Amino acid sequence: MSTRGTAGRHVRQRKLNTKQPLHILREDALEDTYDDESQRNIPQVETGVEKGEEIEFHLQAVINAANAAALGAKSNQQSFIPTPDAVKAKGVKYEDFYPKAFSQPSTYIRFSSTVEDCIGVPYCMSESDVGFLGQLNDGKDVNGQPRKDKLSQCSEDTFEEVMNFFEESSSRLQPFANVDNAPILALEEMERSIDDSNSVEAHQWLKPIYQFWVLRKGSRPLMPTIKVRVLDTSSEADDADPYICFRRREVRQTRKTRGRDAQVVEKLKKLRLELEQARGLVQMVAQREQLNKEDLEISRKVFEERRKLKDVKVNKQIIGEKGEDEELLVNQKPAPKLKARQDTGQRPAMIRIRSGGDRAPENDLVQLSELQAEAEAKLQQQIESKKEQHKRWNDHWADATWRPITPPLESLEDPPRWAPLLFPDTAYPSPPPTLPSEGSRDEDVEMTDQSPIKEEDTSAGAAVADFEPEKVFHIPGAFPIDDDPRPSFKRDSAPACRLRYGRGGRCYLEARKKREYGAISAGVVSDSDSDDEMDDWHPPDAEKSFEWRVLASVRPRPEGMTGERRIHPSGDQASMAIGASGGQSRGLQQQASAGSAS
Amino acid sequence: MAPRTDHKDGGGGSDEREPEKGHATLATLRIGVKAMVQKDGEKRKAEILSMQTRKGRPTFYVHYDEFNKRLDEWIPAERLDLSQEVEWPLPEKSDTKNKQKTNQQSKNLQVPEPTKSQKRPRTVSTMSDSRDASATPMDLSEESKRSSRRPSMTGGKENRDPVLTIAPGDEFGGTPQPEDESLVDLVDTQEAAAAAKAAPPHLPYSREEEIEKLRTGGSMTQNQTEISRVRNLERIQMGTYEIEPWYFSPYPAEFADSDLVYICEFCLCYFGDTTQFGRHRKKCTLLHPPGNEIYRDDNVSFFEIDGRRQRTWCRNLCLLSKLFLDHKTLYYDVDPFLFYCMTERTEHGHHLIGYFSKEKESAEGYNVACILTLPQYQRKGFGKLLIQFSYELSKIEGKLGSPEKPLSDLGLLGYRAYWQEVIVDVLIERELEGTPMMSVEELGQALAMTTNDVLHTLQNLNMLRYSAKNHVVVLTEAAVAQREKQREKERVKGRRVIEGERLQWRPPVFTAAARTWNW
Repeated sequence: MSTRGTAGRHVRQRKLNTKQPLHILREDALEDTYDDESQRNIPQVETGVEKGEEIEFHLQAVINAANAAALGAKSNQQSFIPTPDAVKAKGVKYEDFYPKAFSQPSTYIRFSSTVEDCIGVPYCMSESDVGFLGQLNDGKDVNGQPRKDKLSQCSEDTFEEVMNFFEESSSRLQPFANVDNAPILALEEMERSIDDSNSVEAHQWLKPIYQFWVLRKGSRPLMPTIKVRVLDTSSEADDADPYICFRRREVRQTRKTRGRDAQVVEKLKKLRLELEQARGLVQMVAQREQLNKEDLEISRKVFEERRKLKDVKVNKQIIGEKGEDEELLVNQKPAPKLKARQDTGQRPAMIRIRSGGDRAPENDLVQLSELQAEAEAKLQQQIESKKEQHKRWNDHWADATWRPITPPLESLEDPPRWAPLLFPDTAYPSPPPTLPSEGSRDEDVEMTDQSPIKEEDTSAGAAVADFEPEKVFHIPGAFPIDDDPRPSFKRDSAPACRLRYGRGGRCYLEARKKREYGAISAGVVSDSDSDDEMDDWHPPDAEKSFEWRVLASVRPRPEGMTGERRIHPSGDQASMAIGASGGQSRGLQQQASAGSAS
Repeated sequence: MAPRTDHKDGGGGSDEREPEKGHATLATLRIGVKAMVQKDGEKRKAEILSMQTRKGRPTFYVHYDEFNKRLDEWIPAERLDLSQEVEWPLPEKSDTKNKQKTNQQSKNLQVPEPTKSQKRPRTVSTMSDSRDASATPMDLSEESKRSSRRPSMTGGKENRDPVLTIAPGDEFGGTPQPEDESLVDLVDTQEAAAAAKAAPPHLPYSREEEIEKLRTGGSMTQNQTEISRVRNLERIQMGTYEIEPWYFSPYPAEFADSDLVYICEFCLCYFGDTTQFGRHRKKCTLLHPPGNEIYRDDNVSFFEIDGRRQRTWCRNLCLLSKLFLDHKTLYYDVDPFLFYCMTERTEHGHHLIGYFSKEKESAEGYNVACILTLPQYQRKGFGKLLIQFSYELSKIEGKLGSPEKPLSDLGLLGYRAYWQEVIVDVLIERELEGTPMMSVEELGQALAMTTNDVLHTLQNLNMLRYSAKNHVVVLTEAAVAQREKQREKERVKGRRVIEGERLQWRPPVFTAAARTWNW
């Protein structure tokens, strides 16, 4: 870094706001003259290089050149930091070491194998190994004596495998051999740890190579390795040794609690269980494959035997029945297979064959429409069979319960109608027929087909007879005609009443109060004239209404109630159990029933 | 190096004692002596760091004053100019207590250094000698004597290197942090920098502090014990190249005896014997860095490698790169780092050009830990590609990045060149757009650079000026001309850039458990 001082500033500058946009100018656009000494200096900037190295000769040379260039000095001299050589090596047989084995995949490479996966046996033969191996393959042992074993040739790979085995097992069995000068392991000791991962050849060569390994073995591994401390032995000597590298970082301590311990134990148990299961699966797969293999071997043997038998037959000129010989060799295969699969006999096989025949080659293509038709037919069939079933169920069955099935709702065409309570001699617009849904909402109530009748005590009594139900309410032009023949949601504008038969033949006289017509369509700003009228209908909650119904039905019919007020959506409909109000209403009832009878 | 030039760098101010001078003979030369040495046709002062006898002749390992350590070398006695006076190592009494203690210790334990009449045909350096045998206090003393400032390992609390001059950016008292406060007083910054430079070095890292710092992250060391070591490998062969190592690297101690260490280009395994290497090449099936390719263009590919999953490969890479990175530390394992490796393709496979490592989670917001272009690929513009790539990653992460400090000399130059280029480009572009206004932070956002780095680059290029009572950014003729020249060169040689759209990468996510369990 430049050692020039920064003295010589006269004006204290404003602080620089790094968030504030700055003008980008060219040098010639600068208004100020360029005489300020401070502007001619490159300010000293933190380099990030260690202070001791910042002053190094070559770095300074480059930095000074760069500073000079920044200040506009023309210099063609390239300064650089010299580094030791990196040159093309002479006489390297690169092609031998690195064959042209790479072909680039079209997609980006994804790779997760480790170095250990890719380098094979880690042990690599050295010069002296090559010498020994040559000697060994010449039939001599380490001491140059003729070999006694009857092994032929040892490949380099096998040799390396064996050496690697020795190295690995000795470092595993004697991890501190280089510290405590443990005796070299005996061959027998190491043989104990040999397992399936070693090849058969390696097993055979253990002994001859062992002697050689003992000779070469020192305190350090034969392949030079870096010193790594697995355990964090933060001993001073360890720290000071520059060859020890890649120490483990200590694990950050997590807080230990009993709950956490239990959790961890659970996790481990589960893990263990899962691993066990996985192991079991793999084991079973292996077993299965083993059995498959045996099966194949046996099949082959059977075949061989049969072939032999055939040879015998040919030799002895035994002529069997026609096709017998063929069966002997070829046809045998499917037979046991069938037997194994289907013990019941050959029926499925037959079917299979026939279906194969049915499907004429030209008709192989399955059409979607066919499938659809098939599905349709199936569905239809199902429905039919269901029907049949139900019929069968219902056969000879008599329902002993009292009115077991809810009778069909009163037909929509003919609900009990409302008749005006007062004769419409005044110019009241007539109410439309009542909404059929009102009736249908009271599903527990049986509605008989009842034509509406007029209240008898009114002066309108005589007129009632003339009233055709439909026409009673229809005054053309009174209000807009609905296309719907039964405008159901029109509210009544005049008081109306109707007679309705409920369950058990009870007769209800229902009345509806008069209402100003204007209020009906007002909707939101309804100036409703009655207190009990609700602007909106809120359906009573199902449980409540059920309770009421129950209440109503348990009461003794004749005297139980003085008046049953129904909660009704419009609220303006008071329905009374007329039957409960004495003889007058009974008379009414009779009259009504007479009316209906006539 | 600071320790060797402390007396010049104002380390002790006026208290600094003049080193004792006198004539020396080959027999009286010892470690720590500074003598004039013939170097590239001129004489330079150099300190003897180690001595041994090779083929019956004394040779000396010397460090040249004010040269980077990578130029340290073994020289024959003939190149020493003993006709001039030499400087003897500083006597034990010193201005600071610590120094005194250290030096006393080394004196007490001092053993006569064998210089001549060595029996062995080729003696290894005292250093590797001591490593081969089990460590004894003697060996330590030799080391501490060699560099005479080595902190003693038994010094307890006093165990600190007294003359270390470390002042990383964050520890500058006066350096404002623009991230915290967007107001920066430039004059103060400069003065602070100057003050820090003039101030006596006062921030030595103790061994304990250093290790603690490394434990929680970071890959660069400022510890003298880690960085002042005699180079241990003579030469390495990698692919078709033979390379001279620059610094010490903890390859197996056996390799100190090898003339040539063979390094497999693909798995980076190391062999001291050509037969072994040949056998290894027969078996090794690796053809590219063992990770996922995340970038590919016509020239280069990038691979992302997780230090935890590819421990061996990453260790091998670190050992290799330690040969060329002075401040890199291998004290702790590679688990918390990701390695981004740049390769060149041939029919033989993906050849490693360079790499940078990156902490999986950097507390200080670094986007690069170590960065290296292998020497055989240096000065071809690959360094800039690596740097650019690191910023491309930061852009995807939506973070502002900066390289971990300390930078090496070459690292500094590489970064400065890159910063200059991209900043000038952005400014020119903004100027062409017709709205020539831009804040420092905006620049940083556009380039994924920290505000500090932008500020420093602008200052360093003399582009941040004060005009009409306002700060302005000046596109200086020099900077523009330099960029033009560069463009011209690119037109001739072909331009190498990282094309962001070819990068198939998402920031890897690590769970809290990974963090707890050593990544």
